[in-house]
Amino acid sequence: MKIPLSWLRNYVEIDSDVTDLAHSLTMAGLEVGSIEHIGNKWDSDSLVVAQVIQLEPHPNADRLRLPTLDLGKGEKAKVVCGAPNLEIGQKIVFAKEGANLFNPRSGKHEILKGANIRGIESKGMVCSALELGIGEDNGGILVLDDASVTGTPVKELLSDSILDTELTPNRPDCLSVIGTAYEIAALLGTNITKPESSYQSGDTKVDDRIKVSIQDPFNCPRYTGSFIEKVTVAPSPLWLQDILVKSGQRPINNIVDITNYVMLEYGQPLHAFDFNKLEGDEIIVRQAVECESLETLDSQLKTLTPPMLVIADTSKPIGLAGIMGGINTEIDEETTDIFLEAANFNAANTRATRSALGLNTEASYRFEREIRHELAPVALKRATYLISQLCGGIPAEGIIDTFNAPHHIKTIEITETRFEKILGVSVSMKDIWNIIKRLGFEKIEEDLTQTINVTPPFWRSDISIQDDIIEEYARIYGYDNLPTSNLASPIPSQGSENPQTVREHIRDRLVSAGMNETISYSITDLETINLFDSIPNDQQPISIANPMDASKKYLRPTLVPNVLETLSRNRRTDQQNGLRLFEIGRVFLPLQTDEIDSMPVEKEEIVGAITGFSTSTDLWSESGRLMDFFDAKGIVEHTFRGLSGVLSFTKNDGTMYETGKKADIFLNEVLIGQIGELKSDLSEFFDLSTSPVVIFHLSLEAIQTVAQVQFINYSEPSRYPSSFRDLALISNKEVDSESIVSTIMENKLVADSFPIDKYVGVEVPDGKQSLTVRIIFQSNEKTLSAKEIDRAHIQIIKSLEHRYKISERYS
Amino acid sequence: MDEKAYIDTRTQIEQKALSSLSQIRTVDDLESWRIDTLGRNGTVTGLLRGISDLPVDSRKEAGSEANSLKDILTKKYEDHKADIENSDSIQTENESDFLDVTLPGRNIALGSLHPTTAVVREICQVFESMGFQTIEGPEVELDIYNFQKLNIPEEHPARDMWNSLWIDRELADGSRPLLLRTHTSPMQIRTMESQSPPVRVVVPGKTYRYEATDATHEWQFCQIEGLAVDKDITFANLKGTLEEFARRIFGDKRKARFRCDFFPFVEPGAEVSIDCFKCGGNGCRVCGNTGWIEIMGAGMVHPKVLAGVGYDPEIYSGFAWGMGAERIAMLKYGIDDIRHFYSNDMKFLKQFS
Repeated sequence: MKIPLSWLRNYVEIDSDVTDLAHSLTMAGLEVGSIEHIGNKWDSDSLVVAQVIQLEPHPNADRLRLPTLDLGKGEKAKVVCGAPNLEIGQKIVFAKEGANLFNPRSGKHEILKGANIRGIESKGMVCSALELGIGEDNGGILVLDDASVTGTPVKELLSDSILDTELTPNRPDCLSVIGTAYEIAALLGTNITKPESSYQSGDTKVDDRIKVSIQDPFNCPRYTGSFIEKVTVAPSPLWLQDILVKSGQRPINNIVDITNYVMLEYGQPLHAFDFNKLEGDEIIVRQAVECESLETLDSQLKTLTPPMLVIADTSKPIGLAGIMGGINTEIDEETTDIFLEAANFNAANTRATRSALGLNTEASYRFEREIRHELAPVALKRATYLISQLCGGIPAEGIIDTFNAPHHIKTIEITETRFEKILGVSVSMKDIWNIIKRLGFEKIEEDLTQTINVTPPFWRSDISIQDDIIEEYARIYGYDNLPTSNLASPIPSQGSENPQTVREHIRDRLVSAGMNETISYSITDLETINLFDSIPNDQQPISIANPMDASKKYLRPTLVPNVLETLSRNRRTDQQNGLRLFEIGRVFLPLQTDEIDSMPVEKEEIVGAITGFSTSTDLWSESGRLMDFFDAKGIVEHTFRGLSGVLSFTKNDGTMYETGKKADIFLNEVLIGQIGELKSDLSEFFDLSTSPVVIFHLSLEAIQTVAQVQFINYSEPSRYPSSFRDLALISNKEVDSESIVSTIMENKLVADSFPIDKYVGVEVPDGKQSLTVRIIFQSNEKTLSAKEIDRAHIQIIKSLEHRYKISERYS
Repeated sequence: MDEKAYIDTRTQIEQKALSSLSQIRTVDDLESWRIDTLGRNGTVTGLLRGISDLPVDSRKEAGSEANSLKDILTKKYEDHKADIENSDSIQTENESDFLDVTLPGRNIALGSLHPTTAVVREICQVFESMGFQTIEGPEVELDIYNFQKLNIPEEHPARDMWNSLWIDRELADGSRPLLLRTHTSPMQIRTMESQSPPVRVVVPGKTYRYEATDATHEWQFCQIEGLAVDKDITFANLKGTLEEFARRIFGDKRKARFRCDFFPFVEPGAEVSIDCFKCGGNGCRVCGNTGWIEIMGAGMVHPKVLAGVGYDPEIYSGFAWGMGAERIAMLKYGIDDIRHFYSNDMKFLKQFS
């Protein structure tokens, strides 16, 4: 909310610098987003109040005139002026040569120089609001109040600072100048002066002229109104227009301006109806009936439905309660009698209505934040007073006050012990009271004891429990002034099983294998989802009701496309290097039931993808090699080292993989995922055809059923040397290397064994392959003799022959 | 010589030949190895000749052993020769007397954690060291947990603070029960509902808002929630804990500042800022000339929230906080645009390896 400092000063003494004030307010919870300084560059000598004492035509130009100005202290000036609204007797702002003014033509602040305008020398000028930088109006000169004294520096008269407060939704009371003034009074320790609101009423009694009936008391807990006759609708006085402009409002006419002024002053929205446009003498507050419509003041026809609340006369709606008035009872120049409304409307219903109709107004903004009903009569009387003062109206005697809200504000007990329990420091009731009384709290007991009962100020809707008052004390005292201490309470016990440990182990291992972690968006499009068999055909992925991008509205049921998209995006910008990336994230399975509290199943997946050269393509030391299935497999194997469970791979085709180039991955015989080369049509779809893409796709949930971060199982390393032999074996092609190696490993002298070469070709018969396996022999007990190794060698060959009909290539 | 001695000799020759072969890097050395091993006077040739010294019935066995050795070593020789020829350039460089030490070293693929992961871990570790346990919760939440049990009823204006992405599912009354969680705060409720005090948890996780993206806003981001509840937990503890956090993440010299702020599920509520590490509080671009950088929201758990989960607010009190992981990462690493985080450009990601 924009609040001119000059307006605040009407209610509260401010002895601090405006920047310091803004800081204090911010720390206390009323964030001052910005401060606009008006006239801080004005020079006291060169910008002064002057009076037009003579006005002559310009000899050489029809539209220009030559005013003679009294600058006070016997000083006079005669200049050239083009403003059409200049009149003799007016008090205006005169800028002497050297004044710093905004030049609307150049759009910059410039130093004013003397000029010859159509043959007449003009040293200085009469200023418009725009040139002074206090408004948008450049149609004519700014006319000052008649009471302004000539010769007064304009800086003293018009300079101001406007605080722009960014309020949290709990503080509708500070959507007002007086509410903000109370905050300042509490912060600075100064007092509040309340504005005048007692007026002289005429002979007419309000009840004789109008009746108000409330049909929906829940949505309208209180309705107050006054009747004012014989008003003269005209532009508002300059001071009122000025303050509204500074507060970001557009002046309309005196009646409407007063309702806006009082709304800003107290935070209570008001509305004035042209009484003579009402049918009947009754105001009815009721819910709209189906298909009823109302043309609001912004000239839009709105179709209404219950439970939207309307203000109606006996035949039609005349206003949308708490949001905007109807055009059918608008105040205009002909208006003489008005009915003024200050009511309280239900916050939730106001919010639902304004959001359904797309009508966000100053009034609805306040009502939906829940303002106190006690404000209604206060603001009503203040506005009635101002109308009687400024518009020549005669208020009827009494006000209408229809009431369904509790009459009394609930008292709240506050205790020193609770303050200490929450704040961690003992505070005396005297100190508490000294702060909260300045905010407008009242106490029930005379004396201050450790426990007292207080009532919150009637304009505060956010105070309902003792802890709210603790915050009031703390924020005014200053959070930074409160003590600081470390947690001293016992640390809760934590189980040793942490479900994230395995995942984080995997994440670290993937990184140590040279993989780059990525994180993508959880929402995707249907086309991408349908490329993969992630959910059964008869089920729909979970969709978003209000997506930001209509094409992307589904929660991902698989992480694979996200990783491929990331891969693709990076391939587009980098044609050269090998890419290795992975993501660990949630996927969302379709909702299975319609029960109110059912939630979708979320599962964590791990997807890795590699493509391109294993090293830079042309490093001086080596030539590039495209990464393949076994690079990815190596990464998976590396990842599972340090986790309990035995990893194995079984060939099995899958829809998104190239035939024959895919395996299922098992951990202790539990299926945990797949690995394989991406099918070429998918590579093409993701624009990744330049080199094979190998992906692995793991279910964290499946892994967690088996794997734990391994407890290290220490065994003493052998003190005896190892020796190795390479066996060249001829086998049928169907026999996989894992079977061969595991058979070899069964021999107790074998410490390790692994394939080192594989050959299929002219030197081996059709249907056969040659696999060379290295065997490391080692014992914990002694140095193995060649004979022992030979014996083991022979045993191994026998088992291989027996099981798989494998023979040695060179025997 | 008997058969056993013969086989032993064969094994020794094999081991020696293989181990010396593995050291060889040049074609010349390889040629001398070939002559020494497989040449006319080589060890293997010698072995073959030795067959005739054996008893007749051992000769067949020994012959096959010796021949297999010859085959193995011949193949090894050829493979090694091919290797050397393929990597001739390295050869030349390493074997010449003067290395060009300015040539780049051989590349080792370097992986990287996503900066969000890295910063989440760092933050969680700070709190873990203070006795907090890291837990996680669902990303699709019920309105009840995301809002209502956090003292944010339907049609409450505070809901504007969290613009939501709703799941396309409607109840009979037209309301939507499910949404992508807008903050990690629902885990405050889930945690307290599932255990009795004392509670000390830190909850990282993805959160979602209906929000246009710009340099400082993302519709998907990671939040880190914290909650401590017990009999004697105070606002002073909140300040102490979060100040300690700020120092550990941003450095010993950092000062934390607490100002009043509003979140419906805490009372009193606070916004925590640190003095700008760039300008030391004098005002610069990083801190928007204020000298202070906002890092999180916090507060004492609202008595209504405690009562709602069955904790007696007269006995128990606690504090909670929530911060954006990416925001902390941006401040720590000097990243000026949050959109980098989910663009997943390797040129961005690899900087965090």
